[in-house]
Amino acid sequence: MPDEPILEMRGLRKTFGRAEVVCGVDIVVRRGEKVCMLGPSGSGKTTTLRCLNLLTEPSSGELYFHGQLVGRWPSGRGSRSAANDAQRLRRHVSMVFQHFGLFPHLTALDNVTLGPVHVLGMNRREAAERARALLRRVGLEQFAEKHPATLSGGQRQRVAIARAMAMNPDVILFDEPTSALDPEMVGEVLSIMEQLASDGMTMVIVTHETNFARHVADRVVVMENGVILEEGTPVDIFERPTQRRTREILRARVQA
Amino acid sequence: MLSLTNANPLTILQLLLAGGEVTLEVSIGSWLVSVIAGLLFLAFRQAPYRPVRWAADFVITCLRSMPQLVLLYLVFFGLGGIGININPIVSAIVALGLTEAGFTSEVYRAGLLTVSDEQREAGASLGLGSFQIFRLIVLPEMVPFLVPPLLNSFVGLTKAATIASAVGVPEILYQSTTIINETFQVLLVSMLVIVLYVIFTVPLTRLSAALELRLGYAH
Repeated sequence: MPDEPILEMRGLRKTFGRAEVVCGVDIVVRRGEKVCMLGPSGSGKTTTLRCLNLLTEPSSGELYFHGQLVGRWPSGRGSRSAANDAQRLRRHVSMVFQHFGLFPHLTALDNVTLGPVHVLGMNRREAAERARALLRRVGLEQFAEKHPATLSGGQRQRVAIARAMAMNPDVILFDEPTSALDPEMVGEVLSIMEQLASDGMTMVIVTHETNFARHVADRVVVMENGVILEEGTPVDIFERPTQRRTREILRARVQA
Repeated sequence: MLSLTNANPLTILQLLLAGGEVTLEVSIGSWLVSVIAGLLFLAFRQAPYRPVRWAADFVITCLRSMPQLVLLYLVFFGLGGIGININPIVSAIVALGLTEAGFTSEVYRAGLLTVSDEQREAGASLGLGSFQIFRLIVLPEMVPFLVPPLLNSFVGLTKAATIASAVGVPEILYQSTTIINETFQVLLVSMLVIVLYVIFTVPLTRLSAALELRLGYAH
């Protein structure tokens, strides 16, 4: 079913101390969909994304995975079972981080095989074979035995994408995947992501790359001050936004 | 037992080397105890239950403030007094190892702080459990930072091992006291002991530097 919801967050709120960072967000991610989240810094988009794989625990809200309730917050349940549920969820929901998050003590190949071997229980040889194929897909097969420290930022992020793909996830979350890169390396990462998108991967992408959002996204979500300002197809959002703020935010981005 | 009446330097050296062997035994043993017990202390200090954390903190504070000799008496004579007889070498290993473990657990704690939360999150995002994150990511990343202080603690233990003489362990200080008592060769014996210690510790500090270089990853 093409429009089957994979991830669904309802009524998400998140407070850090006294600051409410996300104030009531509903988000549905359907199979095969590419959702781009735009908005100024501090708008709550990264926090929202991190709540989708429970790296950040919601203060309140409900999270569903394939229609099944993963958790409801504020939760009265024991923390142990909640931690187990989060761990199970993350097998199917991979993440690519702004600062790559590669493991410096492991080679590129071992970074990619770690999850399959230790989480999916795949045998090492099979995992290594698949990892090589994935590194080939991101154009880095010849760097398989290198440590992250010897790779460029763009190469590291491509390894991180291969690592996320190795889990065979239902959806990959991208948290500003190009924001920490030198400008000349943004392109190589975006083109890998475009390739992944055209292969049908379900993706949620927090980004400042409006051009990428315009061309790749099925749906664009614009956030500000912890709420969704506007949501729609790229054409809706970029050509005929209903909110004046949306226009201002997007214009600021295009100029930046 | 060799006769000391003619105070032959070679004989003296032989006796000191025999003592050195026992010193090594005590220091290696107590180092292993400290490395393992320190890890256990660390685990208890991170336990999800507050009383466990409090108990661990209390024990560590006591161990860190207690003179090693006092704990050694406690283990050897104290336990001996209630019918638990432990041989002097093992007593020394336990006493030195446990007091050192108080410090070692601090070393581990500092090591934990060197691994960023981003690394833990990256592990969690792959679906690893908290113990897997520790074993596969945190531990290997902190080891390079642990090597110098842990080797340092070993060097310290080779010196602290001299207190084992207090319960009759024939380590290097015990041997030299015996030799001095019989020959009055204070200067010769002291110089030999110093030379032995230097010969022993210099390669260790070199090893520490080399390991640090090898294990370090440029970030």
